[in-house]
Amino acid sequence: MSPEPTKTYQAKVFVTLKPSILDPQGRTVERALSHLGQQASGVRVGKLIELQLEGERGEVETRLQDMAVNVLSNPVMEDVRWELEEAPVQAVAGA
Amino acid sequence: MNVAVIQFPGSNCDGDALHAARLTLDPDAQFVWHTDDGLPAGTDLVFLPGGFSYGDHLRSGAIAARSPIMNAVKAHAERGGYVLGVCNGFQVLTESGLLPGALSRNTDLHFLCRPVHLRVETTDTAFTGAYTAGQIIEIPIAHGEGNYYADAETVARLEGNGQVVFRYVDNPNGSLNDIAGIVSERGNVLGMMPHPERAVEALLGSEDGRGLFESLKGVLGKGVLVK
Repeated sequence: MSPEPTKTYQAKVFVTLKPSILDPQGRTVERALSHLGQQASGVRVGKLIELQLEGERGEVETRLQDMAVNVLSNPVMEDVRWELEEAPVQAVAGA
Repeated sequence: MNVAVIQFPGSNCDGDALHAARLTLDPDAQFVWHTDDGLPAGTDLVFLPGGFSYGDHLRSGAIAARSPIMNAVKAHAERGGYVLGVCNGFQVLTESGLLPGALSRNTDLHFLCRPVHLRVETTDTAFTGAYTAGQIIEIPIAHGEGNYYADAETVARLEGNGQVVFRYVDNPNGSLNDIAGIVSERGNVLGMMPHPERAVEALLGSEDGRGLFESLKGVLGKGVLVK
């Protein structure tokens, strides 16, 4: 089995408040939309964090998971998911 | 008794914290910079002050909780040393795992800066021995993210163990169970959103925060072991 090639990967980490947590920011946005005549419900405000990682795919996935779970999100309040793809293009699945 | 006040980039209550510590506990209380990897020898109390460490980037207290000095603060807490985190300091404590739960946005999204009334829920801690149980004290708050949250199981455990030390009389920010301050299970780490260090002189509006420092004075340096 040949070793995995070292590549540059583009990661996107999505951080959202857990459904059980009240999101006052989302509610404010929802009210503002309503005032503008735009009806929408369930508005929640989250974060997108982009980063580039270099290495072998398996090792990059492990590092990304560690960063996403232990630093980029707070498991008390937030859910986190991520996407990882080879930079600059090519879409691959995340976790 | 030796007090160390940790300074992070963006701390802005560090001066008040040092002043209150020098006035009440330790005339030689000193600042410790966040990139230091050790506390001064003989440190009894670590004071994590309020402010906006690292500009509140990522999450309040998140970056500060992962700065070099925090390894030493965690080791100090593990040894049973006392740690007091006020406002941003409380956020740093939850982010670092030294206290359970998290602080999220105030429910009305406003930054709240005013005196509030707190009920002292227990005097059975190193931080509250000088108060009387049920005493109502007036201490200022100044925060945008002071809404205490933890899962139901954690809150039940805090309540069951008597770890809720201060409760808001009139909840300003949406905190679960009106929680304003909690201690660790062993009782040596206290986190609270209100600012006792801003209430140690009558000239400045209230002396009600002084009891917290007087309580610590009673135990610090006497070799009293924590639970």
